[in-house]
Amino acid sequence: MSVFEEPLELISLSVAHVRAWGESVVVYDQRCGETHVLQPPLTELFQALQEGPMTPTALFEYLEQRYEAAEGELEDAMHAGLTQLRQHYLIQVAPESRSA
Amino acid sequence: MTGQETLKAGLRGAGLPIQVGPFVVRLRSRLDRIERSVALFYDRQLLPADGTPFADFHITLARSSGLHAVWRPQARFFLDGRSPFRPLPLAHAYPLFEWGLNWCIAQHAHDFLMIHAAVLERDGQALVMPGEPGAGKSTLTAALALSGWRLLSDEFALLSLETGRLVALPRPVSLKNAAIDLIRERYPQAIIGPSSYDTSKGTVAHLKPPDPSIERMDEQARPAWLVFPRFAVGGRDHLEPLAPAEALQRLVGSSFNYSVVGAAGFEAAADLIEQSACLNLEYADLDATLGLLNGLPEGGA
Amino acid sequence: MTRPALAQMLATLREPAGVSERSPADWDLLVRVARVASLEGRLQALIEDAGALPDVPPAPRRHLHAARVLADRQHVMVRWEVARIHEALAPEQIPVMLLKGAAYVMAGLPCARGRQFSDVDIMVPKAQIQQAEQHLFVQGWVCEGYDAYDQRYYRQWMHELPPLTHMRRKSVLDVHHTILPPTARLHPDPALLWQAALPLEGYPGVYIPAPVDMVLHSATHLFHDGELENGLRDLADLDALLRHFANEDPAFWERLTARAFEMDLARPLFYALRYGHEFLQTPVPDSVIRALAPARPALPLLALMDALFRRGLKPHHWSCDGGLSGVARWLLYVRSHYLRMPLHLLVPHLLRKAIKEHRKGKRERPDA
Repeated sequence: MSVFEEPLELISLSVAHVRAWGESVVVYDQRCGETHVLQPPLTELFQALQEGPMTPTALFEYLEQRYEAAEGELEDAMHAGLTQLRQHYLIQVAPESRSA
Repeated sequence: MTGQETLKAGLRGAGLPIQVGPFVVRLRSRLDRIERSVALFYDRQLLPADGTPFADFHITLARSSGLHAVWRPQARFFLDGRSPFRPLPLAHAYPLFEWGLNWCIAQHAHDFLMIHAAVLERDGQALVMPGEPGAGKSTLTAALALSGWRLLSDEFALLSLETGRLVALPRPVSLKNAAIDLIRERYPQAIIGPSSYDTSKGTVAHLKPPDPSIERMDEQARPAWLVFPRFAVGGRDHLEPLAPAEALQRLVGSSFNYSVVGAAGFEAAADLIEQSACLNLEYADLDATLGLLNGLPEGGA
Repeated sequence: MTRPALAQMLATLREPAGVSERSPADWDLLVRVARVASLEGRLQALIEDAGALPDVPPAPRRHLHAARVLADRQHVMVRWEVARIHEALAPEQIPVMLLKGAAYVMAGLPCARGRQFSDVDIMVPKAQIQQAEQHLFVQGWVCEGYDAYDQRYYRQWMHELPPLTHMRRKSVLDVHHTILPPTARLHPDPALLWQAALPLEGYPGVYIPAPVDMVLHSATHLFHDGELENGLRDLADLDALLRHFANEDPAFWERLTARAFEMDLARPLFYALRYGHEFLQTPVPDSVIRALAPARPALPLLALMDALFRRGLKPHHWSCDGGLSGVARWLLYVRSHYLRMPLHLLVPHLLRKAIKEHRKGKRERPDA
């Protein structure tokens, strides 16, 4: 299995530090003091992961049900989005899979 | 002793305690300009020298010493014996005091989210106006303060991290260049001090805060409107909604200590956004803009 | 002569529960002295731990609280920086030892509570320091604002890279490979530090110095290397470290003196215990004083050092200054450089610094 199949999770965030305003989601990460303003499609990924850890495959299926986009396009967008969330340190590989 | 003598003795002796919003400043100075300005602007805020044992900031405005100072007299700002910045020409001693006091507050008052913004209040509801220099914020602030709004602060908003409300820091409003005569002409009741010429901002004069601003200094105000003014010569005066996420970014971008206060600062700023109508203001004509702001619907967001 | 401001400061550090006796006028001075000594946040923590915060009147309490907010924020940032350093260097198998404040915070030591500090200090093995610099660079730490002379000074004569600044976060990182410069008169062996270092849980490849080494490094930094700008703050760190470790490990004092001689750092330890006891009543067992006798300077030198340190360790506030405070500070400054580099390097360096240095605001008694 590729590294892309490990379940991903959001870092733990207090409710007061996530504000969904219109299309945007504003996130405050108190570990580093950064304020992130997420716009679609990052908000879609973020909100999906708010439900709990998901593998990229599951995430892709979730997105596929909501969006009508060519398969390759959606997958590229998803991976680009995940890379950005990772660069912001907002997602990580879920610990259960790390120890496995 | 007369009030004037007490003031002079305080400034030249152990220091004159002044209540500036939530802070007590103990000010010492032998400079005539400081004495005159304090007598003009702060006469309603003086505290008894003997009954005020604790001060938040111990400030001294002194003439620079040294050979150089003979030809070019300069004023130096000291916080408790340390001089954190360069001296300015003696003629600018009073603006240096105001500017230096801002610096002291910004360095130390981390029980607030401090924002570079004007704050005015009407019916308990606060209008917060962050603005870059040159946005015409001070003119607008002065005009509002002289036409029924209560001035909480001209360029230094204190958002309490405890109550989420705005705390007053009433100080003289600094008016620049053409705004000085404009305000003088429109509002004959305005008390405006002498002009300082050739400061880094051009000519500067200060407007004394109207009485309600001082009398009701202890009353906090609930955020209701967050307005970002932009002065546009020949533009069309209008308000337009601003996306909350962008408003937040601009609000914290104008903050002096957002990175220091951490999560409490984010929560206070985000709560303010949620409680306020967030608006962009393009402003060209003072009357038209006052009409727009006076017509803001009550209750914010 | 003990001046009231200093006496109050020391009494509050030693007995934070006694703050109820302070009058508002006492606080007026105490807050100011604490501010210049970088001890406001530390005082808040000590008073809080003693359960005495309600005894502090609201106006001064607010200042202590604000400093604590700042210190807590700095600690959060240190944890973040350490995680990022770990991320940059662990995959390259470069071991990292945290020094000073970063070590206190990550080890959760009581002396860290409320402690204000600015930079993160780490040590990496000398053989890997350039490699470390490269990998840190890739992650955004750059050397900025230093001219060629400064760069050479740091790299050649000091024990560190020039300070690195993170491009985005603006945090400052000091990377050392030894705790004293190679030109210094004392030669503690970094290999000994590495051998005794303790792994930091959750960060494989990151270490903190053994307790004895933490104390010795802190003492060396204060009495051999530093310029005493925050002398009392650093002495308070030492006092807290010593009390904590002695409480945790009955054999601590014995280990400490043995280690001091092994590391060639008995002299700075002697000073640390002498002035720690004098200022803060650090409880030093007699056996330790006897064991350190060989490190005690001869009397004329000790009298001079007493004269210098008793002045230099006071908060640099006009209320604590005596007639010779300025001279003492200057002599200690020259001494710290003298101890770091040979005279033929020192004189040109100090001259150059004196020429380059912007005239700093003089500290004067604020008479208008």
